[in-house]
Amino acid sequence: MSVLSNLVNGFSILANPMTIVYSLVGVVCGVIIGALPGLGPSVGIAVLLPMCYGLDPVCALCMLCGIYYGAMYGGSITSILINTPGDSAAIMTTLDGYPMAQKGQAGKALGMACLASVIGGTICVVLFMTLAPVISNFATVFGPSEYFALMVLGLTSIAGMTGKSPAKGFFAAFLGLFVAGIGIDLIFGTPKFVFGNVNLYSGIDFVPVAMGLFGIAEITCNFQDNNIVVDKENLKLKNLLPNKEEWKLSLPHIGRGTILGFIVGMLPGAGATIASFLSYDMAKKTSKRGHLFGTGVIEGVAAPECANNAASMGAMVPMLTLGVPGSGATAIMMGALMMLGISPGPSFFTKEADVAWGLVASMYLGNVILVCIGLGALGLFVRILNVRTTTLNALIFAFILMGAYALNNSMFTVGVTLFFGLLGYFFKKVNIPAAPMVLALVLGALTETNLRQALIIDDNNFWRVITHPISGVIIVLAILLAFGTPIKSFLKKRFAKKA
Amino acid sequence: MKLKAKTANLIMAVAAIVLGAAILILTKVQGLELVKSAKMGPGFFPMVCGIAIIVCGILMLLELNTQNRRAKTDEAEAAEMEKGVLDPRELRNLLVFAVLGIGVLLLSKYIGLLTSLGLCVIAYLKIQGKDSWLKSIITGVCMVVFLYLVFVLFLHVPVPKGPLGF
Amino acid sequence: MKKALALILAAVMALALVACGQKETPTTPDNNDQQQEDQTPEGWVPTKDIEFVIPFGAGGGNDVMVRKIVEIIEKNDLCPVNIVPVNKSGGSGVVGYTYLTSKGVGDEYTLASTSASFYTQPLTGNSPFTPDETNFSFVAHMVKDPVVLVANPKYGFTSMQDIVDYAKAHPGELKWGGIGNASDDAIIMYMFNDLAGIDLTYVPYDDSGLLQAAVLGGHIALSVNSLAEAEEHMNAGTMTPIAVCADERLSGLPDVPTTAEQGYDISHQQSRGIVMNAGVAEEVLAYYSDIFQKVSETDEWKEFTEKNAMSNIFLPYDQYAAYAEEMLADYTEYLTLANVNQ
Repeated sequence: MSVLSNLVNGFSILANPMTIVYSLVGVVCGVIIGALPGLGPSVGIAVLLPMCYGLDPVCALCMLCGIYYGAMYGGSITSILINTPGDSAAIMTTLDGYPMAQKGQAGKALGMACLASVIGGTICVVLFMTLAPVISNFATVFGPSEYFALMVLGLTSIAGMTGKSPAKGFFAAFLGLFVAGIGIDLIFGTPKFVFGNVNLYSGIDFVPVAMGLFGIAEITCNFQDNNIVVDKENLKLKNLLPNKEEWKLSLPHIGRGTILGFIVGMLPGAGATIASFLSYDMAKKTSKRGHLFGTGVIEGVAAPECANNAASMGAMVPMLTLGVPGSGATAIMMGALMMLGISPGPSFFTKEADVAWGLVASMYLGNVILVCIGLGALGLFVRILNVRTTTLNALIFAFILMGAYALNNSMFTVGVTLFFGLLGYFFKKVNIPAAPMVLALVLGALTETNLRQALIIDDNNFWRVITHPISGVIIVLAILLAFGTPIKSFLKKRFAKKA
Repeated sequence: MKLKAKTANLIMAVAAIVLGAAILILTKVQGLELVKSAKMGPGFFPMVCGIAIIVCGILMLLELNTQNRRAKTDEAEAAEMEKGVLDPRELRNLLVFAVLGIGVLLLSKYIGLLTSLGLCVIAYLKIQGKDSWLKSIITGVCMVVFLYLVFVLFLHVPVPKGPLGF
Repeated sequence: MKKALALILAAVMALALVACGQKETPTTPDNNDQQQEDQTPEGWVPTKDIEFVIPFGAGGGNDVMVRKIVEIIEKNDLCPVNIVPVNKSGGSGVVGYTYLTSKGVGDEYTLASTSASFYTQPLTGNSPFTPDETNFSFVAHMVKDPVVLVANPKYGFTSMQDIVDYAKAHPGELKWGGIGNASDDAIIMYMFNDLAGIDLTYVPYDDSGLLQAAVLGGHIALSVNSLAEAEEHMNAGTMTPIAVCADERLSGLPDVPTTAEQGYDISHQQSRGIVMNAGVAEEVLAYYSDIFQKVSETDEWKEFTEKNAMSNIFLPYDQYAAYAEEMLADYTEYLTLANVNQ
């Protein structure tokens, strides 16, 4: 009951037209920044932070939350329309979103992305409200060995992305794992495969790799004019939204993806990207038409989209209740809070009750505004596809290069993007899937770091690392997920023979 | 000359094996130890990747072999294997992008990133889109203005500038 | 027709934004006393925008510090031209210093900030730029960052002696987490090991959020944190403060003794300053040094350092170079210690 009265209190704080205006400004800016290739929520919050100076804390929070959600959704717009993930959490959305756009269902994919984000977000607000004050310690249960187990679980989902040829899929994955290892070794400080180039010291970021492998490779292969035509009739809102049938297919995945995303998001370091990978994989394994994933099915858009929004909400739990930011975006947000004179930490919900519940209420508000903007502008986004292919190609190319530069303010990143674009083109030609490579690149560095940290902590005893209670459970889960189907079919055969 | 799918796959598999071997050799050359001061050393993961990539290359060869055998009896599979991989028009598109990309990399230092991206857009539209000069230039200039508004004024990205100050 | 209209509109908007974006340069001189006092006797004044290279990512300690400095300069009109902060992160600062040196010897319009890796990267062989006057001109030393040694409460430690006793009774059991492998965090631990004759094990992290979570969850026993990072947890009792690695007790933590008070003097602190390319004329250095001195004397800066528990230790250009030499000697010594122990 106290939760409800607190929330009412939170909404009463929000009952001020200015908060709504700031929330709106935040969401719009967020969507725009998220949609730019390469720029995600953390960049968005960092660059728009100066706009919050001198604002009242609640207004500032509303705006920051708006940017955060807006950017999470914005990333999926370019994923779906032009196969270029706007940020890392939107990579999985390309797998089914872009094929849907090619089939002429871009509106549906975008609509589903928006609604799944919002449903995921709303469920999470409820979870956040009821659980945040209670489960703050969850994040600290995970140490290096548990993270290592979680990364192994993430890597097993590669098996589900290999397509026709497992050898090619795993080749891409190991290549990604290798690329993840480039840079200065964390444990010993030894340079690995840097050839004296200082730009490689901190490793290769996966955003330019993803932009190259997906975006540039796509525009290279796609040069014939206007293969997708969107006519006026298709732009009516009714036709842009998923129908009853599609809802029925997607809702269970949204529910599961949201819970999964929230839990993964609460772990510092894991974040929205991994949540979207795991959610997609889970949807693929549990869906009746799992074999169709990757050809443009709507669940394939819904599952990662709700998960990445849920994860972004989950990441707020350790940030606010422990003062431990779970992702780049929340780290910057925490900086912003401290600048406003609010220090998140164990006593946040009691000491700063007004701000805390105002924040929860502003999350609701942010979600509502996101639906309005997302659906309202759908038709506008879809019209991008009516631009002539060559014109679109030229503009996308310039955008990607500019985005790559803005990531690190470095031309080197532009070079990396171009290189992986070329590689992506050849991969496409010999049917090597790009997604496992990007996934391995994201997880690779974390896997290596956490395993080595865990080994130091457990005195080089690998058995001890994987038999911590939680890591043990996760490892068993990973093995079951990876080999579940072969084991099942093997057992089936055995029983069939006996019978 | 037509590059058949089966030849392309063969090249890819061999390339994978060579790449894996190169990684192993580099690990050795750069002196990355497997075990260092009784801890897992910096060379452990790269070595695992190198070996795994070689194994994947060999598996790709085996896969190719099975496909070739199947192709003898299966019409569809045979057609798939004989299909050409590269399309000359696509290669031309790739070449244009490659040249423009490298151009941007080299020129941005001298004439500014925004200017070179604008030139890149104009050149692509002229070469691939076969647009008129006027249309190409207008699109290019609009793009530069847009990038300037978003990235420089709004996001304060410090871009390399040319002699004219943009 | 519509298209043309849109185009014109866009152009007008662009112009308007450009006009707004440009900082208004004061055309009429301000006639207050401050301005007249500020006349630099050396005569060198900047005539174009100054770039301030931050060799680390947005939101980090270095970034926050530089942006605060620039904010104070702008607010108090300490400099006639714009100072533009530029993040060039990568390679623990090396990418940023590479960018700085690419501007050429004697370049008068580029500044860069320094932190611990300014000294440690060249020593570990991962940077070609030695922190001395062959590569840099030293402008001003700004702050030092004292840290607090904290422990997970499950061990029940209250003093450094408790840690030493426990470590002697249970060799190899206590783990110490820190950021990076040849960093201040590591150096402090190896100094402690050396002084007390114990064998704490160092676990390197690359993310301070994860490191904090690991200490809170008891996966590692000890770590050093800035006061700002650990304050809430110390108040809530989820981290026990053991000692302050500083020359004297912190005003924010008056009850926690320094390491020297407890008999194990491991008060090594990170130092942050400002450098330029080598070969910059002395009058230019003096000009900048003067600006930063004024910054360090403002109330805003004092408040900022206080809030972030930094020690406001300003050194002008003619003292900073010698100080950097001293720091380098210290780091060389400590890192040898770390290598021997590794």
